[in-house]
Amino acid sequence: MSYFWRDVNYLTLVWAGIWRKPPRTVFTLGCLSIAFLLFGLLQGVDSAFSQALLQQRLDVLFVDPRFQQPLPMAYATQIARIPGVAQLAPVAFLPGSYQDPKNSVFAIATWPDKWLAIRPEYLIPKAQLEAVGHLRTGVILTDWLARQNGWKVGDAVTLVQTPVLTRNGDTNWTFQVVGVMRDPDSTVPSSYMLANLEYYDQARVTGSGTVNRFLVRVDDARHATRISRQIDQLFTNSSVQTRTQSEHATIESAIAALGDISFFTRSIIAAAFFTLIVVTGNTMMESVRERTREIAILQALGFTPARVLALVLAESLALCLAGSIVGLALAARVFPFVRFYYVGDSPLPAIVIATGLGLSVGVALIIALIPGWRAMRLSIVNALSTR
Amino acid sequence: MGSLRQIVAMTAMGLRGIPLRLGASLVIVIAFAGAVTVLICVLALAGSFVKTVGRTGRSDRVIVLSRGAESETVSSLSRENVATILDTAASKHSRDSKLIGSAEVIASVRLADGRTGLDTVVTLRGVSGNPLDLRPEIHLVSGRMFKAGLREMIVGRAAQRRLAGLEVGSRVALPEGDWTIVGAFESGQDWHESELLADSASVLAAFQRNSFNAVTVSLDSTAAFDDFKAALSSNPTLSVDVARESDYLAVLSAPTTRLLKAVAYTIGLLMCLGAAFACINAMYSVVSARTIEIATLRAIGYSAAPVLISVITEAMLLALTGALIGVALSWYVFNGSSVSTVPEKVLSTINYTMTIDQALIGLGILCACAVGLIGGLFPGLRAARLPIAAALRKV
Repeated sequence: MSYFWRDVNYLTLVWAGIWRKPPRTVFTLGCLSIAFLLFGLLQGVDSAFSQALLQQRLDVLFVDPRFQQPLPMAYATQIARIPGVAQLAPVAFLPGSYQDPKNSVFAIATWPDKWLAIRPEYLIPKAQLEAVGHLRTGVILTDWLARQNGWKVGDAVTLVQTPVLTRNGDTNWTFQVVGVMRDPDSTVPSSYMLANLEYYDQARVTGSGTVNRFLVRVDDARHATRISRQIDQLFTNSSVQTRTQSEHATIESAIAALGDISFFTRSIIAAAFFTLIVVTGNTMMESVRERTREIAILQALGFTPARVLALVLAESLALCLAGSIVGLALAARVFPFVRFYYVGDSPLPAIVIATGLGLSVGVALIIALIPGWRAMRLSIVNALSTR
Repeated sequence: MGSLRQIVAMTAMGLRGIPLRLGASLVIVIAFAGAVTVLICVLALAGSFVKTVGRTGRSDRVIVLSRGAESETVSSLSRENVATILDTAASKHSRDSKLIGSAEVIASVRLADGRTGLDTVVTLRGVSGNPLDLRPEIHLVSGRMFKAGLREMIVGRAAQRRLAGLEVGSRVALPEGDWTIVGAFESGQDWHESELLADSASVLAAFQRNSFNAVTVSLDSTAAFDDFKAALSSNPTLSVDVARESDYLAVLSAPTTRLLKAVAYTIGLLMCLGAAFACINAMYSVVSARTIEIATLRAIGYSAAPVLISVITEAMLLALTGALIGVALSWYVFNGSSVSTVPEKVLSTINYTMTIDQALIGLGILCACAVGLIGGLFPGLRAARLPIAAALRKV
């Protein structure tokens, strides 16, 4: 019981120390919150990129044209013959928009059953998958796209402003929604629809018999490099050469091409944090210096130096944790509105929150170091005799 | 007169005391150095991009795209359309038609980034005629101009700096065999400096294409635009969009500009707010350290206003010192560094140089002064309202 009261009193002491000068505490908390808000937002973007990268598969290859020419469909049979190629799906891209020109919708004309076999992470009811095989104009949506536009199975969807002319003489493409697919593990919003390549190929005026990409799944990720090389070698002397990379490498290039994001993110976080430690550290030092006499009295009353150190440490921990919680909570509220290429609509990654909290403990330790050490080494006699 | 002397005396006393309160003073200086460095850096990142785009587009040049095309990449114009457009341009023009229009082909080439080794997409722009006629801003810095009909290209300096294997004399693999880089050009740090330029007929042949992407036309004057646009729009054989080059590029780069600006303003604002908090905190401690000094002066007849002013002046001077360090730091570390990004809808890399100019430096210093003023205001008010008797009793 006495221990309990001793601890309660101890906490009261910490609390009193924190609120010794309320304005100082408030502004220090403000500084800390801002630093952790910046940390949450910037690190959130960075970590969302890494997550996007982690979700890319090493055993899925993209066979792209080396020079942005259309790829002949006939390549499919040649690629499929290479040992180690488990699945193959040709892919033609049809970008367009729905109603508002800003609401872009992306259609992928492919063999939907093969495409889904290469990406088994997408779940879809079997009946819906069969339906797309029976209806030429049928499409399967990602759940994200369906939610965004309020589409459901049975709806007719018309893509306008596509770059592809139809046999009707315009560039509008109408599809029937027959299914919705969903990747339960994905945190990155993917918004596209799968259409039947046969229908698309017959309905377009130019470019029939060609696609933009072949999607290949190899039976073993360890053979990905060898198979990539073999595919490219097949067409070295053809008029349309290929360039095969794993999905992982393709996305890595794409993210790197967005610019020197990581570099600037880290620079800014470093600058913000350095400033923060200096500012808060000074406040802490000052707060301890002001209490020299009080600490001497505590020691005279029997507080060991370790308990004095713990007192300073507890104060600094409480401040830093409070600041980081406020800052990270703000970041988590704002982050879903940050739309940045591969990032968008997703919650702030948990790892960022965890790192932020860990970091705040580290900052607290560094900040408490000098003032705590000084408080420990205080000479009671000197401190009490000076005014 | 008396109050002015009081202000000077009070402020001088405060400033002389800075070495005694080194901790608090340093906090302000460091906080502002950090905030201004970050502020200038993020603003330069956005501003330099906008400037690079702005330098590229001219209002007396016009770009013609197929109707509805958002960018050159997705636009497509047949040879007949191109001929019609160039003829229309010639009829509206006093100069020789060959000099004023270029039918352009946009192809992309994958090259390795010199820094990361990862694939980067670079635009290969096929132009008709001599590119120097239509774009006088281009000038060769080494080598020579490509020759029409040959597999030759020239490379922009910005692309050359960033990417591996683009030295004059090196070879670039394209569908129908290797091409030679015969020269390097500068064009006033604009967008095209991130591109490769070649003869359009050769590019069409190499990529087995039969249609152009866009036509760029130089007008007699900015005012000739409406006339030219009307002529093309009324032509029933054409289905095209006509835009001033400057407007086209502004629209094309708008999403990226918006994004960069949003990031810059958010981060800049937060850093300023952080610096303001740090400054208020530090100045409170300065005021509390000077309590007795201030109370004594007030007791011997100094009024409240000089106290307030001296605290604010001290805060602003410290802020300014920090800002100058921040300016120097950001200039030293970031000025002239090369940044690359792929704007949305463009699909190929644009390299630009981060420049920290006088306007940015001025803005950084101005922000620091404003924030320093706020940071000094509240502690200053407290100092000015100090209860004299109570403060002196502490002695």
